[in-house]
Amino acid sequence: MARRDGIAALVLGLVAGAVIHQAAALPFGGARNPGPGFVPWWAGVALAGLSLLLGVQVVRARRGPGARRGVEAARGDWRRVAALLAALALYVVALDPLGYPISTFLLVLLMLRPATRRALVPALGLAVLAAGGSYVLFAVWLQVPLPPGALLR
Amino acid sequence: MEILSLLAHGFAIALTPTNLTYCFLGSFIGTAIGVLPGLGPPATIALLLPITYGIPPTSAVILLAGIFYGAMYGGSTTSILLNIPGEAASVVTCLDGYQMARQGRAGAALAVSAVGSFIAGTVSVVGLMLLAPPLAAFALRFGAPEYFALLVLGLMMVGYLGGGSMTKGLMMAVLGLLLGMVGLDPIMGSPRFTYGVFKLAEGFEFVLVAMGLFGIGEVLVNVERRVAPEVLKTQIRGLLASREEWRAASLPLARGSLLGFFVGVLPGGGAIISSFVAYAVEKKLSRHPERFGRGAIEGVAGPESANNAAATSSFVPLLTLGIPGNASIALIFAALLIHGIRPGPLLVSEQPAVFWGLIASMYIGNVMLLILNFPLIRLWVRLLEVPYRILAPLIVVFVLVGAYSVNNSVFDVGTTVVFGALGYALRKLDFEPAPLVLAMILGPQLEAALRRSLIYSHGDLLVFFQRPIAATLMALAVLVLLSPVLRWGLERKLRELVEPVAPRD
Amino acid sequence: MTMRAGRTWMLVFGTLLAALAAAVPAPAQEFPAKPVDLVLPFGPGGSHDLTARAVASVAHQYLGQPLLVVLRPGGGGAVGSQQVIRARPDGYTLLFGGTGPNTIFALVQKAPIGPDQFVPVARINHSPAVFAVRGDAPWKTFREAVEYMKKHPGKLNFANTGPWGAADFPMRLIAQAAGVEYNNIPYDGGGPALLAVLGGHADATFGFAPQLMPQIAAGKMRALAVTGARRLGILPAVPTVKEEGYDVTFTMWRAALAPKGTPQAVVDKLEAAFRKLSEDRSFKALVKQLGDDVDFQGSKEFAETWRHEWDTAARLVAGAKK
Repeated sequence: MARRDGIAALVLGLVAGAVIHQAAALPFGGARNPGPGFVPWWAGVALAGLSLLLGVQVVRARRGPGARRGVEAARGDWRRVAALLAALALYVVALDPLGYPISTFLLVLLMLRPATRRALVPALGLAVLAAGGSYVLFAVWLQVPLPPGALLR
Repeated sequence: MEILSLLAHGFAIALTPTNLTYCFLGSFIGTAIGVLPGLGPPATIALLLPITYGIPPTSAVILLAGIFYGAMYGGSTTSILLNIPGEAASVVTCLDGYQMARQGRAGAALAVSAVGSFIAGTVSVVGLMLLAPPLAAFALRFGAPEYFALLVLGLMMVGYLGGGSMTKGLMMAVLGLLLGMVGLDPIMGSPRFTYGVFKLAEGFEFVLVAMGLFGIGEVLVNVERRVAPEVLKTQIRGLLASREEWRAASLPLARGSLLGFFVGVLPGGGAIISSFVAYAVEKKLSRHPERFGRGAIEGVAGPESANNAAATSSFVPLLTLGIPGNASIALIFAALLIHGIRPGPLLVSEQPAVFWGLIASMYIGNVMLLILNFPLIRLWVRLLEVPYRILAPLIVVFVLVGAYSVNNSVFDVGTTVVFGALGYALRKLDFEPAPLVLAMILGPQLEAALRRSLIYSHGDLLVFFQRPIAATLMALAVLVLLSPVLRWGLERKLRELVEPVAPRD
Repeated sequence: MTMRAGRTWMLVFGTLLAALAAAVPAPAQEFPAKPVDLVLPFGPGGSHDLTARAVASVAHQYLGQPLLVVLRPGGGGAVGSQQVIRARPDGYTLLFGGTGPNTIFALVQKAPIGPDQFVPVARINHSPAVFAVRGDAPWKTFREAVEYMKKHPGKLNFANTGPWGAADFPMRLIAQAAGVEYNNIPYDGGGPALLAVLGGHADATFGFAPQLMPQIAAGKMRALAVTGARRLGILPAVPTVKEEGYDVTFTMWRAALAPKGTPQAVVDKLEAAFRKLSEDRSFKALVKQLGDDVDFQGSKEFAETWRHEWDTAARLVAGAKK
């Protein structure tokens, strides 16, 4: 708990610093007529203050009797998260050139990866169904101009 | 009694087979749209607008209004089942609704929100019918200082969301404020934090942020675990709500309906503010506030009824002043314009058929929505029996296609993925994303109201304390801010009183 | 054998040629061979959208191909405008542009989406702004309101509909022409600005006639002047700003624009189609319901109108930035 809060305080403190720095470049105005930089600057200061407060709370919790209480959340496999995020990033890049149906089909297939080894045909079927079904629903019925890609152009 | 004969006339119009069909169609489409993420009521109404050119104005309004309030019924479904808020007003429903689903009580949450929506919708139509003109006069008294005070009070309430520490909740709120500032500044129109990217100049769309933080973030967290998430492991306990649950939900339902009705009259964001104010009120009044965020039924009943009541009462500015209060109602306004009807202060007297037909159709529509939604609960709960490894890719596709449909833009899909990653990180660091999302919506309004007030008052800060409504709201905000201190002081006083009586050793 | 092989070969060659011919852009006299996209740089539901849909609803019979309205909102109209500029200049991608994005936003944000980037095809209509005050306001004429601003600089609370928007812009022009000061309060859109005036939180605003008519009819608001070159049909008693003695005219136009480099023959063809379309009875009726009148201007004529507006606006923006 304490370690994660420490990280959070540090990261958000840095964010606050960046915000204050950037807001300072905008016209500040004054209490009479606040400019575009007025509210961002104060929000940045508030975030900095809150980060500091959280940092103090972390330090005090460590010293106090309640130190090391709270269990770290069960650690999972972070590589799966990284893989999914990478797949999603690729999907965004491929959406226009490949078109919606093909990229969606590939994404679903990729996400079903453990299942594709055991049962390829149902996995393929589900991917086709998800990509095709959502395409029909959104592009045909709801007239959302999803990128069709080479397949349907 | 005149009102009864007028209403009877309205029912005579709304109950013709044609109008009944349009009312059903509207409710049905609205429910479907509410369930689909991204594509909200405004986009749907815009899509159907050309169809209404050829039908009588009363039928057109009945159809379009049905879509609008029907979407409020559907909006809570994805929040409860998948932690994906379909529209802004159901962000708060995610907090306890999704937790209930994870404990196998999705059916109860859905049932309470459907019945709550029905009661709130009906209460609000009655209010709309009886109180529209005085309410409009009240809404007109809200100038920039009043809005600022209301939003300050709202932001204080945001701190009550989330079960964790107040410091971290406030940090999320401030971060949300900052994210809300990306784009053109609301007063001068000069770009801030856009780094020269055109797409950033319009700011972050709320739906994208919410679907990323909640929807994608949740999938990422679940994918990380090797073990299947609890949604699957838990047996579904009882389909609908139990007697105790109904009892627990009844007062929050009533309070939420009233609160939503009054706050919803205010143009711009009434439904959103009312939903989390209702949540904060329920948490404050509860004898067990620690249950909130862990699947408290009151945390579903209050906000859900509030946002439905607010959706109905947001028709007040249109019907009495001729000014639409939000994007969906602006489109209904446009539909009336096309038919040569210009809503304004004289609408009720000049076009009684439109006004009373609409009112009557809202009573009927709410009944239809309840009948339509109740059997669906069984179906939705079934959805959770699908193994998560199959459900996960479907959720992702659902969110991504929804993100695209908001503006037909690939950039938006990217935005959603980025916020998904942020949502995952926040969850790992034990932050609650709800305050962030709500502050992001309120932030620009808050800033605009502050700066507008100061331009109006030529820089005099007293403007927030001299006007009666603003001053009252400010006093309430201060009270909320100081309440932990006050309680601490009170408890100490009590202990002092008790201590001398207690034995010394 | 050689004969047969030759024949097959010729067949392949012929197919290839045909494919190539199809790939080459269709010559102008065959335009339009496929539906034309009309890009709208705004979201759904506004007056811009409704006008575009009215255009699209009758376009097929005059164009020979459907006209598809494509919504590309964002960046104050810059996103949609940019897309059309980058599109192939073949007449199949047009912008439904307007004063907001293509003059004011282009100048204020220095975005390259102005008259240098487009060839006008046709202006469909334009609406003047109406200066309106609350029904119980002390000013009976526009001149009285301006005199008040002169005597009490910065006292009149003016609700604009957003920075550099359809209310802010004409008010700046008038303040410049009359040499007066006022308290300029920005609201996010016409509705909120109107509410502020109705609720007594501001004294005056600029709006469009369809939006103001119900309030005027109910006596809640009073129109004092219009910014057009002549009076409005539905407000015959309200004088123009020019009649009141201030040399300001301002209208918000809506026009179909093609990217620079579109062949003249294609522009002519489109212009002719839009000209006929603007005389269509059902189209005129539809636009009238929206509270507007169709006021067609052809490519050359409108290019001049636009350039004139652009130069006036550029002077004002340069003055304000100082």
